[in-house]
Amino acid sequence: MNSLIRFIQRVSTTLLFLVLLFLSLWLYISTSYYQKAQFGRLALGLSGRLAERVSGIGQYIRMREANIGLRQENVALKNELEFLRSYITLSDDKTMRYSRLTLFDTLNYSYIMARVVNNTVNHQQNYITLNVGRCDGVEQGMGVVGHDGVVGVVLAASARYSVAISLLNTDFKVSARHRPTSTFGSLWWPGRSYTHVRLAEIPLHVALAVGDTVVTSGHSAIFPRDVPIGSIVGYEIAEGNAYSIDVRLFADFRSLDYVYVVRSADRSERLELEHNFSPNAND
Amino acid sequence: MIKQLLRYLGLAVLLFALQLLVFNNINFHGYVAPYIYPMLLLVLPLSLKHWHLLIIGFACGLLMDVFMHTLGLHATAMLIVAYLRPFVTPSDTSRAYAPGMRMGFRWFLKYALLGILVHHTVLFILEAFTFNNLSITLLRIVLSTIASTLFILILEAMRVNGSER
Repeated sequence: MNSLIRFIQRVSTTLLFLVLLFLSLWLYISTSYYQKAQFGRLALGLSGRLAERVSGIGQYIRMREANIGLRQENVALKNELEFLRSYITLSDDKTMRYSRLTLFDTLNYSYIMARVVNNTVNHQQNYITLNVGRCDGVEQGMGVVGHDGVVGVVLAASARYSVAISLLNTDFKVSARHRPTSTFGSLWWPGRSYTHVRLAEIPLHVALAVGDTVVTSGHSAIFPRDVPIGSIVGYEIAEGNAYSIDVRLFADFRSLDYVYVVRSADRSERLELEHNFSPNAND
Repeated sequence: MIKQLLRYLGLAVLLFALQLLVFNNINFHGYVAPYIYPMLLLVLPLSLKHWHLLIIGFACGLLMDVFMHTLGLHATAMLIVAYLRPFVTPSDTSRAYAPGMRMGFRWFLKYALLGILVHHTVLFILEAFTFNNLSITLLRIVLSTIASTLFILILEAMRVNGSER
């Protein structure tokens, strides 16, 4: 009798183990990274606040680097501003001038300033926590860029914090463009070094050179066109008449500090349009 | 009893906070990702039943998953460690009331190393979700296991010292 009870106990424990194992594996495999982040939103208020406190400590150490980055960005923006100003004022034709101004008006991306409060680079699926949330106008699906390139995409936002999928996440892909030739490909992180990503689907007839810049394509409603990503450091011929290109990131993901969340004004309209006309509009 | 419960709860909060705020940010060229929070499962009292361990391991892993956006990943790894733990801890509970460094440094080193190795093997293989680049995954497992075990030994030494005072 005693041994029977012990036997039942052992069997029921093993059964419990198998049920829980099945449950956890099922949760892991069947949910997308998007759904996983939705669960994470439950804890975002707490973890975000804690991480913000802690990251504030290291902020002073990185202040110099952040300062240099911001100054460089300032110079680039000033140059661009002067270029655009001269471009507009040089054209004498008033209607031309007006049409150009309205053109700028319709291409509106606006930026929300954010600080990275938590960020990992040593996992295969890395995520970034930002200190801005729905109260600041952040919504899921918005792009995140740093002063030197693409950082990620917002997956979920609580009231004051949001979590973004990092470019350094093996589940994430972004549409990219080889700048000199304007050829489009898809870019993702192979999960090794946090300084390198891979660009694929660039056809073999394209002339590549080491040092060429890779930028965003502007095909999605997430990132504006021509946000820098990295430069080519090497390439090889992969299967299927395409290059497999090794790209070194411009952004240093270990020391991400100040970033911008990209809000595109026509995003909802564009998404609606694409949704209505895609062949599988139901998913 | 309540005092004990509070002590383990305090340890759990401490380990979770350390993991999320400190150890997640440690990296060595992206190969080392130390996880110290499984230490909680290793040092729980021997009086706990097997199914208690399973539930606690699963719950801790799931909580970690919520914070790290990896739903199910840490839960699986912790559950497997929880299942295997009674096979390596002494069955006679009179000698010690909880596994720890008091049972001998070498014993604890072996015990922690084994537990962490199991945890990390499950975790990193599931995380990569592929057997491509297996050598890199293996390198990540080995290096991270060494780092995690080292940190856990330090934490355990501090814990034992603290409770003796």
